[in-house]
Amino acid sequence: MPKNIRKRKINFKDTTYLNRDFESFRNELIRYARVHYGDTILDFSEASLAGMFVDMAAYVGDIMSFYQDHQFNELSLETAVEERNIERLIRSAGVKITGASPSYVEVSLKLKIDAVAQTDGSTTPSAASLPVVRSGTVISSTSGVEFELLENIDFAEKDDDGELIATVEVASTNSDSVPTEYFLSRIGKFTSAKTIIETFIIPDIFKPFRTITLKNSDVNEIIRITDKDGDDYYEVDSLTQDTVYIKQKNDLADYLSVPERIKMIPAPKRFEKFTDRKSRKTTIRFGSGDEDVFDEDVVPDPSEHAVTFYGDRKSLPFVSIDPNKFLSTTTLGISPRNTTITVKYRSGGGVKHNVAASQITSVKSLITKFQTSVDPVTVSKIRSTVSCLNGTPAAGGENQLSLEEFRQIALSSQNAQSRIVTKEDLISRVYSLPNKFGRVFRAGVRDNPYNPFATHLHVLSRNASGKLEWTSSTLKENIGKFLENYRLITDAIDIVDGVIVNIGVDYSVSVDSKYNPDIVLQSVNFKLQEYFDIRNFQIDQPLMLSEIQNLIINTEGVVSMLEMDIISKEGTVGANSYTDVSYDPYQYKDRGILYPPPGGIFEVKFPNDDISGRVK
Amino acid sequence: MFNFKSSGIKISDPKFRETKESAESKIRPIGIKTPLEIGDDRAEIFKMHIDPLEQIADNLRNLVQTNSGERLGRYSIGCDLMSLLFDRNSQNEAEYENIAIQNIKKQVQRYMPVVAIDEVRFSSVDKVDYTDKTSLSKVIINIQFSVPRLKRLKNRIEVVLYNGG
Repeated sequence: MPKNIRKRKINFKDTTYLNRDFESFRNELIRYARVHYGDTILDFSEASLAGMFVDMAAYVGDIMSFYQDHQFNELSLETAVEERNIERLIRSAGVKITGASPSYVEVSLKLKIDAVAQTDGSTTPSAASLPVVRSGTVISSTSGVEFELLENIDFAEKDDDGELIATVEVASTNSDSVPTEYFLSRIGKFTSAKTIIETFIIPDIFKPFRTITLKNSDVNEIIRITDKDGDDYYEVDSLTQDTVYIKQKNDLADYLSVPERIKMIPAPKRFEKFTDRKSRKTTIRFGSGDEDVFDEDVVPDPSEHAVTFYGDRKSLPFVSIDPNKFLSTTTLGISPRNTTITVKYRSGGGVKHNVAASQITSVKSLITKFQTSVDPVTVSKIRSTVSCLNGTPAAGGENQLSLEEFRQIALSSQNAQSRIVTKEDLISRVYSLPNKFGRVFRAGVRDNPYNPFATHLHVLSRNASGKLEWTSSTLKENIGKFLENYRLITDAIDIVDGVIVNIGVDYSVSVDSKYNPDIVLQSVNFKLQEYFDIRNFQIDQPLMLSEIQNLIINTEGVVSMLEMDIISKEGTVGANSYTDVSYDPYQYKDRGILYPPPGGIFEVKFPNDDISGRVK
Repeated sequence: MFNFKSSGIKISDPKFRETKESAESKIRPIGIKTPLEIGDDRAEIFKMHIDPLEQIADNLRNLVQTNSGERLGRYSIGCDLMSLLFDRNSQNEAEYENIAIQNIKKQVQRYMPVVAIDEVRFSSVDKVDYTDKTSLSKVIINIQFSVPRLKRLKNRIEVVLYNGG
C-alpha cells in the first residue's frame, strides 16, 4: 500500500461511539479491522479464528456497555430497577418510607348523668360529676378492630357563654316531666393505631449515631422519647436540624380559633427515624455527640484533635487531623449513653381498619378522671353508662405503599421544595400549617413597596358564621414561626392583615311581561349570591363587571339590564356591621374590571341585604 | 489560471512500479491457521492461510469441533457433536450419525453458506490399548465438501472426536 495512503488511513480514526450492543460492536470492529488491517487478514467470518477474536472483543464491549447503562439507570429514580437503589433514591428525595397507616374516625361518646335541681326549679346535668375521658380509651368495632382515643374529652368543658360544649339530651323524667337524668355526648377523635411503650437500656459506651429498632412494625408516629433523667429527645427530619417546634396550649382570648401556639426550641437531644420497607420496622438513630464532652468552641481547635505520625516523615507534616474526633461534637445531636430510653409510639394500620359507619359500638377499656368529690358508686354508675357510636366511617387506613407507589411519590416530591422561593411556595406553605395551630382562610402575597427584599403576606380567617375576619395575632405569630424554617435567609416576610372590602350590588332590570317580576328578581339575587360566595374569592382577585352583567341578563325573564352598580359598604348600616375600609369603586375601576385595594378581597357580607334589585 | 499538470501523481510514478518483492507482498493472507503455529520468515506472527480453500477447510473443521455455547457472545455456533458422543452406543449409532449429519449441514448452511456438504462418513475406532489410560475410542468424521464459487469440488477433511461416555 502506498505510504501516503497508509498515513492517511492511520490519521483517519473513523471511530463511532454509537455502538451499544454485540452486533453493532462486532460490525464496527470488523469494519475497522478491514480498513486498517486489510492487508494482514481477510477472513472475519463467524467460523474463522479472527471472527472468534472479534466476537470476544464485541462481547466485552457489550457487557461493559450494559453495565454502564445499568449504572446510569440506577442513578435516576425514574429508571432504577434495583430495590435497594430505589429505596436510597426515595430517601434522598426526602420521602419517608413508612409502613401501613391507621384509620381515623370521629366517634360520639355518650354517657348518662344525674340531673341536679336549680333554684328556679329546673334541672341541669350534675356538672360536679362530669368526667374527663382520657386519651388511651379503647373502643371496638363489631369486626374487632380496636380504636384508641387520641385526646382527652372533658365532658365538663364549657364555651364562652358558660354553656356545656357537650350535647345534652333528656334521658328520663319524673312524673312532673322534670328531667331526672341527662345524656351527654361529645365527639372524640380515635385512631386504629395502638400506643406502645418500649424501653431500651443503653450501656455506658459512647457510640456515635446509636440506633435502636422498635419491636413492632408499621410504626406511624413516635409520640415521645425520654431518657431516665426525663429529658425529651425530639424527632427531626435530619440530624442537622437543631431546632424543633413544640406546641403549647394557647391561653389567650383567641384559644377557640387557635387552640395551640408554636414554640421553637433548641433540640440538642434529637433523633431521626427510618423504616425498613421489607420488615416494616422502624429504627431510631440518635446524634453523634458525647453528652459528657462539652463543646466549648463553636469551631473545635484542630490542634486538640491531631494524630501524631510516627517514623521519619520529614517530607510530610508531622500531624494530621483525625476526622473521627469531630464526630463527638453535638453538632448532629447527642448520642445517649448509660441511660434507659423510653419510646412511646403508635403502630398498626391497614385498609381493613376502615370500618363502616355505626360499626364502632363497644367500649373495651375506659380511662376516666372524675373529681375527687365524686363517690365510687357514682363513678361506677356513670362509667357503666358510657357508650359509643361512629356517625361517619373510619377512613385513612391504608396498607403499606408498594415500591412503585413510593417511587411515584418521590418523583412528584422532587419538584416541591422544602423552602420558600416563589410566591406559590409561600402560599402553599401557609396553607400547610397544621390545623392545631389555626387555619388561614385566605393568603395573598405582594411585594413590599418600601423594601425590595421583603414580601407582604396578607392573611384572613373566617368566623364561625363563615364571614371574613382578621386573623388573630396568635395565629399570625404561629405562621411566622412556622415559616421561619422554610424562608431564605435574605428574605423578609411581613405577615399583615388582608383588607376586607365589603361591597353590595345594586341593579335594575326590565322584565318580560309574561314573568312574575318578584320571581325574576329572586332568581337574579340567587345567582348573584352564588357568584359572590366568599369561597370563590381570593386576596387581590379583581371583579369582572361583565360577568355580573352576564349573570343578570342571562336570567330567565330578564329583558334588559338598565343599571348595575357596585356599592361600598362600610361601618354600621342598620343591624349590619361592616369593616371600616373606605373603598371608592370608581377609583379602582379600569376597563370593566374592579380591582380591590392592595391585599384586599371583596366580600358581600350580608347577601340578603347587600344585593338589591329593582324592576323598571 | 491553475495548471492541472502540476497536480496529482501519475500512475507511472516509480513508487508505484511493481517489483518482484511488491508482487510477492500482494499475496494477502486470508486468515490465521489453526492450530496456531509461529510464523516463519514472513512478516506475520502466526502462520496464515493464503489459499482460500485451505482457510475454508480450516473453518469447517473448527465449526465441526465447536460445541454450542463454547463461543463467547455467539452461543449458537458449533455442531454440538460432543454432547451426542456421550449418548452414542452401538444400539443408536445410526441415529447418532443421522443427528450429527443434520447438525453439521445446518451449521454449515448458517455459518459457511459458501460450502456445500457432499458427504459425511463416520468410522469409529475402539479403545486399542486397555492398559493405556490415554488410549480412547474415537469417531473419525470424514467430510467431503465443495466450494462452488471457487470451483473447488470434492475436497475432504477429517475430524477426530474422542468418545466421552
